[in-house]
Amino acid sequence: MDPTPTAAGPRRPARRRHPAARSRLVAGLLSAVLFLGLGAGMAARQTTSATTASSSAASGSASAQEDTGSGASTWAATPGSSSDQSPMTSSQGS
Amino acid sequence: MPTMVAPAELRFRAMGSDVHLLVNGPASLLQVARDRIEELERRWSRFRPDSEISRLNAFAGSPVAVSGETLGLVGRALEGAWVTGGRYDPTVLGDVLRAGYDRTFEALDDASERGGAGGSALGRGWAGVVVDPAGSSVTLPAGVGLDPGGIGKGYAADLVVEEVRAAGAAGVCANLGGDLRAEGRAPGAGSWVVGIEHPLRPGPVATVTLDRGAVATSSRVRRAWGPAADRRHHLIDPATGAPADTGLAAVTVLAARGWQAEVLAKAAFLGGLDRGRALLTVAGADGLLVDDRGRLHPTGGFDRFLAGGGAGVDR
Repeated sequence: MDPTPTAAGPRRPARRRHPAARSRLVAGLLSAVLFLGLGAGMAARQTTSATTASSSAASGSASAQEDTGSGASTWAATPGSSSDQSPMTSSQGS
Repeated sequence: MPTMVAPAELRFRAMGSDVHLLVNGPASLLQVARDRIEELERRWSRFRPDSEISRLNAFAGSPVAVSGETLGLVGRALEGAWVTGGRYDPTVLGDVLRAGYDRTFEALDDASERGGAGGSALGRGWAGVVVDPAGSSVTLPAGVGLDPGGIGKGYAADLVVEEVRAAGAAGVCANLGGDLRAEGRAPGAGSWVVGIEHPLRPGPVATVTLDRGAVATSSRVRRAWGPAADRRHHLIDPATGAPADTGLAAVTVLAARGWQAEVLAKAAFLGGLDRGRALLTVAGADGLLVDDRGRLHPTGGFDRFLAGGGAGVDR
């Protein structure tokens, strides 16, 4: 039986990547997932106790312990509501 | 009639940086804050042979007893590395030394060579660092060095602000070399005002206000050394072990805590424009990225922080 033609036309041979290029692609994707997967990591940090980071973060001084409490549920600052007559400081980079 | 408390401020040098303290409360708290910052510097400076960080590096491979503050610092540094997938890496000390940053920044100059002094064989390895809260100790992997650098300033600001607030200040801002944390009511009208310096020309690039939180800026421009043909800076890319060239001149981040802002600013800088901005968005933080040509790239929510309702960015 003749094969049924498709709208895409005859199938082209699959493009094969060189193994090294494929490795680089996979490494890049993993890196991107890790880097942009920050949200998952940050959400997990609230519950995990398995990592050295989280277990140690709960161990410092009284201030450090406060830092891991409810106030650490977000990494966002709170915008100001007024700037009148307030003294100014600067952030110039380090 | 309410008692008016005069604003108090103090400027001095510590941790290799200009420190600016603002307190809405008794002026005596300024000295309390200064003493605390200087104590933390004695614990964390890699240029002091008797500091806890120097002992950690000297005895890498073995557990080293440290203070609660240092446990907290190392824990946060590891957390920063974890949430950024290692883009922020506190164990780049060997790379920093190999780039020539082997003495205090004040001692570096345009003739400083690469290579530096001892420690050039150090490798990276944040995932192998062990923190033992029960034993109050930290163990670095053998052959790995810790450089608390910027996160030390950010976390010091966190500790000082929280302690001075607990001591009775209505508001306090601790700014260590541009890494700052502010809480409570600012002297005056209430919000804290922060000028973000332009990395490529004199003057501020934006002025922001916040009621509480932190600001940190990572710049390749300010902490740089070496001759023009071999200019180096302290922002090491863990992927290459060399000072990063990402097309960015500086990244400023606004976050809840000083150490968080520092981690995000450095990781966003190392990620480059697109990934850096995406990182801040995913983290729920905001910031301003300045590229090598001086063009400004704010995050979507950055305008909420601008003084004057959005007219504060010099685009």
